[in-house]
Amino acid sequence: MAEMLSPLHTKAVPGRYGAAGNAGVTLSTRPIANLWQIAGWQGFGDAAAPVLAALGLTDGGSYRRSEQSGEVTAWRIAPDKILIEGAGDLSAHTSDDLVTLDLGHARAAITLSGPAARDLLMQLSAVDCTPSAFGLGEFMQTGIHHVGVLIQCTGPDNFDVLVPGTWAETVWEVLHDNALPHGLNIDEAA
Amino acid sequence: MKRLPTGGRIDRTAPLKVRFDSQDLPAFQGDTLSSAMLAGGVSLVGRSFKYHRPRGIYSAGVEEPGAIVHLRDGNRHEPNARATVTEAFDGLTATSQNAWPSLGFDIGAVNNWLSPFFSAGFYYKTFIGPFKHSTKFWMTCETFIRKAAGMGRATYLDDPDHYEKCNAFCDVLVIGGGVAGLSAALAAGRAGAQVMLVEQDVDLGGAVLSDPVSSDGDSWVASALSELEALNNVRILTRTTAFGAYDGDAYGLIERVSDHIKAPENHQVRQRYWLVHAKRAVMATGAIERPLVFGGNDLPGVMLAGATRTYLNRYAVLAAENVVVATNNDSAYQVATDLARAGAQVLLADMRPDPSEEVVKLAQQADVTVMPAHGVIQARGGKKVTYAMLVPVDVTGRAQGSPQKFEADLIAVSGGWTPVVHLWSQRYGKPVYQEDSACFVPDAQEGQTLQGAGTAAAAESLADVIAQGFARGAEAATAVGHPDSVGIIPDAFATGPFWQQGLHPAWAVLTPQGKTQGKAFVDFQHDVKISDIDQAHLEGYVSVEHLKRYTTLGMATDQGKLANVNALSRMAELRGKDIPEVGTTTFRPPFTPISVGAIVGHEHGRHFRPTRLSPIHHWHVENGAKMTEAGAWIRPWYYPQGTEDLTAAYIREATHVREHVGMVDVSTLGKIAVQGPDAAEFLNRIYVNGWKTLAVGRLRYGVMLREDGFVMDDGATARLGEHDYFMSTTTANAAKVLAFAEHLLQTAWKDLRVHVTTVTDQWAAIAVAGSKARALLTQVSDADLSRETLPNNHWTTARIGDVDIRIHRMSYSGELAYELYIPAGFGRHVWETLYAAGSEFDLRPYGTESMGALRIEKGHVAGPELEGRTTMKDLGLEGFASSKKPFVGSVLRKREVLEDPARPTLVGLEVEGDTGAKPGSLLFSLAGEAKGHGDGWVSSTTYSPALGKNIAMGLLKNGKDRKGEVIRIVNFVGDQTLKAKVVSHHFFDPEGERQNG
Repeated sequence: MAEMLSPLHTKAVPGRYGAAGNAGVTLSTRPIANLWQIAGWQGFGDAAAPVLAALGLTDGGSYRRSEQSGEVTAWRIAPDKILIEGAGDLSAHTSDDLVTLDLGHARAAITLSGPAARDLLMQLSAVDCTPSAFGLGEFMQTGIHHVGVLIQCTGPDNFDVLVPGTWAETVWEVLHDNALPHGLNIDEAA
Repeated sequence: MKRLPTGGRIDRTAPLKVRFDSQDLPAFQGDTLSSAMLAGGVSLVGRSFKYHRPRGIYSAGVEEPGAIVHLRDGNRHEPNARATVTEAFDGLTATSQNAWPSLGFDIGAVNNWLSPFFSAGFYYKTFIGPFKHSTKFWMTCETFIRKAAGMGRATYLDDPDHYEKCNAFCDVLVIGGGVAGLSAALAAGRAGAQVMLVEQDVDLGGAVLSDPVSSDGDSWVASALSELEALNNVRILTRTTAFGAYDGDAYGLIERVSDHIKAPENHQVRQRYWLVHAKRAVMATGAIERPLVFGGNDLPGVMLAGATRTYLNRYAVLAAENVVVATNNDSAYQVATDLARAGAQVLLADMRPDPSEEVVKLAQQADVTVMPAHGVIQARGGKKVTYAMLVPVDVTGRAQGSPQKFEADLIAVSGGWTPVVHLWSQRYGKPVYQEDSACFVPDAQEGQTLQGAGTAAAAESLADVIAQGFARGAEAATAVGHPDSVGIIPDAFATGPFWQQGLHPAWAVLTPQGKTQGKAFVDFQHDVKISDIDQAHLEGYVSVEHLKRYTTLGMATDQGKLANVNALSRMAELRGKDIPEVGTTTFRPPFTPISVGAIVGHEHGRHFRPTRLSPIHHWHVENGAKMTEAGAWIRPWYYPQGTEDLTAAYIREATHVREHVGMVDVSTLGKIAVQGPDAAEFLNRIYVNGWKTLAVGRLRYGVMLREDGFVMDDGATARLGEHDYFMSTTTANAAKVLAFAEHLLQTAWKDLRVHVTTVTDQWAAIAVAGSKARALLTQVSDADLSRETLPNNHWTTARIGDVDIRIHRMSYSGELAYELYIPAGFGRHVWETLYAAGSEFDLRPYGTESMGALRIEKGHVAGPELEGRTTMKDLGLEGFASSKKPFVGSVLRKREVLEDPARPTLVGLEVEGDTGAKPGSLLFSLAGEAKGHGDGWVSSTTYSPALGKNIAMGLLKNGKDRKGEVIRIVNFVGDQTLKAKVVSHHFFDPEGERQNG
């Protein structure tokens, strides 16, 4: 059985790096399975509704807040596009009003946590990542090191960073090097 | 100069080793380099920019023009540091700059005697003026002038430290941690706004830090600070300078994280660049004392009055014991009083005839001798002040009698105060002149999101400072939605005569004839004298902006913080106007010098720009490939065997592909999913050729143009399903094509139900090329790849092991070839599977260099030909254009200039001899002179293993009609001329028998 290789398979080397003391940042990776994009045009809401309902979702969230149902997460990345993780193959939902696209190999997921995680994000991304501006369940599409990324807030100081696979190492390295002053812990890949 | 046994804000239990040139300085924690210098008796610190005149410590702050030094050694060496804001630390080493062979004996000082030749604009007159037709002489002289003039020397060693950037967001940014800033932060913080308070000093307090320890001001600051620290919505940053105010309410800050220690510790950064997005800002940046202008006013030992008080009260350093204080306002009386009480003999010369009884009494109670209606007309001494020449003056500063000589080792001057309005000016333009304070202040208008407070806005008393700060803080908080109560305004505390109280705006002491007695400087850092301004005026410079550039006034590290107002005063006098009519220059960032490293942050070295890696990247590296940059991508260039160099390797690899089979990683190709019911119509519009007849299972080569008719890109697009297409683009243009398509769909073609999405990251791609390609792939996959089942320009699904892939039959090399599209996570697995299975077929990987050689042999165009200046007709692609439909660029490609038959068109070139041509070389006919742009240019070159000769592609005027002609290839840069025969660019297998086989 062929093993699906993460773009970060050489990077996530567990260990303690950078400043001594308590680690301010913990980095790791997690696998992405079944990442699909559904997209439509005028009337997208109606076209997407049956798909979302079948997945236990309501409206696919807003442009800032993802929607979650069990293992399924939906991000409304554009007015007429929703990215869905964990829902399996959605190609069967393709119609004249809705197109589906498999992006399961197109992204890598970097997990970022720790008391300095928000500081690190604000070093690298020109968006407000303070708790009042970026809370649990919210996401943003922004750039890290000129690479377009989607950042999901998964906990008080926990984030998933979805990165295009071919850019994943460069984003990891920038996160890694900028985390060193905070004290960096790298966990085993999930 | 001496360190007092008590007092100051230094920690006497923490002595530090600090060295300047060869002298150890008695320093303590809390000192600056300049206070340690004064404590150590150092008066001569540097040499001036142009005349190499002796320079000492003139101030105690960021405005310092004279005490500019080198800091540290080796790769942490830093030039042009201001000693006055350099915190002393254990192990600090500093050296003087702009002096040779030594600071005390500086050969360059001869310039001082030659100063009549070095007046304003002497560069232009002396070195350019007489040689109007050439700058050659100037260029020669410039080398020597630059050596003689100038500032410190930078190091060429890599900076070992790290810097970082940070973004921050707040409701209210308060710039300046003095009394006004603290008041503003208190009001905004109490109201509940998110507040950032930034202060360039290590401690908060501003001017209070120059008061004696344990004064009322200390209690006031401690109380305010205590309250602010208890507010979790207030963030305080010290050692942080706000250097720039920009549109969109963005502010640039530099935090000096580790400058106060020998080297950053525990992985910390040296400096941090903050980009603060603040809804409102309060500029509580204080004011800088102004010099007085008189002969010899640049001698070491002439110092701003306020600075002498700072050294006394903050650092417990008495800068001299025999002091003349020269002033035109009340604030210097407090200075004189404090110096006298510390043990100095103080004589105060006040240019005003009738200073207030209150201040005179204050001074006299401290045994200060007060001389009203007197000014210093000249400072005398060699390398430091030894005498002050005092003279009775009228209200304009003109001498009214004979000078008297007074012994002095320090002349403390106060010519008034200049509000620090730089940040406001950066946002809103020129400040306005306020007559009664004789200074420029912000032209505050409603709606401005940056407002001044305190002495930066010419507050009239300490109570006014507090009131202004508190009011601006409260207003800012209210404006951003925090109208809550701000509580009671803090009380004012007792202080001495307030800044420039009673100011009389006389700025210079001159002879009755209006002359200076000796060289009198307006700008100390660039050696600009009154006489230079006079000369500029005589030469017709009436604009303050021109004056600045002609005389270099207001440039360098101090950026005119000390010089501007005095220069404007002189200019106004000369023009018979007042200062507002003369105007002022506009301030630009940065407020103080900042490190380039901090702006760069992490974006250097391997993070200079982002890099992009194929899913198979690590296999290439592990197997010895030499990698190369292709845009952001890092690609395998060639796979050397043994000691092979690039040339040997690519010739071998290309030969191998022609003779056996090779595979190359083409994951970098742009890949775009085109989906929707109108996808075919979309393709019809964006490509020049037709797409509506393309069946599922087929693919087609397409060309797309820009709207102006030039070729933008090419590539193959496969039809995967009814409404589902897979477009490939060149590696270089992938992002451009996607953005172009998205732009059209969101603007001009909103009627089309199409989505375009990049899938470059989703798919790894491998091209397998060579006569054995079919046999290899048939063995490793389950696909029927026979010529009949999968002819050229068709695709099929297939399985390699348990991985589902797509195989496109198409060729870039001219060989029988297939492109495999593999889900990226399995890209390496499939590559390795092919590699393992390929041994019996003698499969070899090949890199971008041999890939390029193969495509040139075949005559395919690529980036060097699709460079934005070529049309389809130029490239022989006209046949792809459909005449049955419009497409992007279909109209403008028919412009007369693009239809000109003489335009350079694509040709092949067979180069004579063993040397290949260089891309970019120009093409000339054999006859005539090789001059100008020639008949065309070489675009791509290679050695062709298949043909056994050097070949090239190029664009040549009337190329179609010149087949067989021998022309010259001239590389002017490399001084190389070659001969080549013009041929078809389809060098190899023009009938396509191999790729269609």
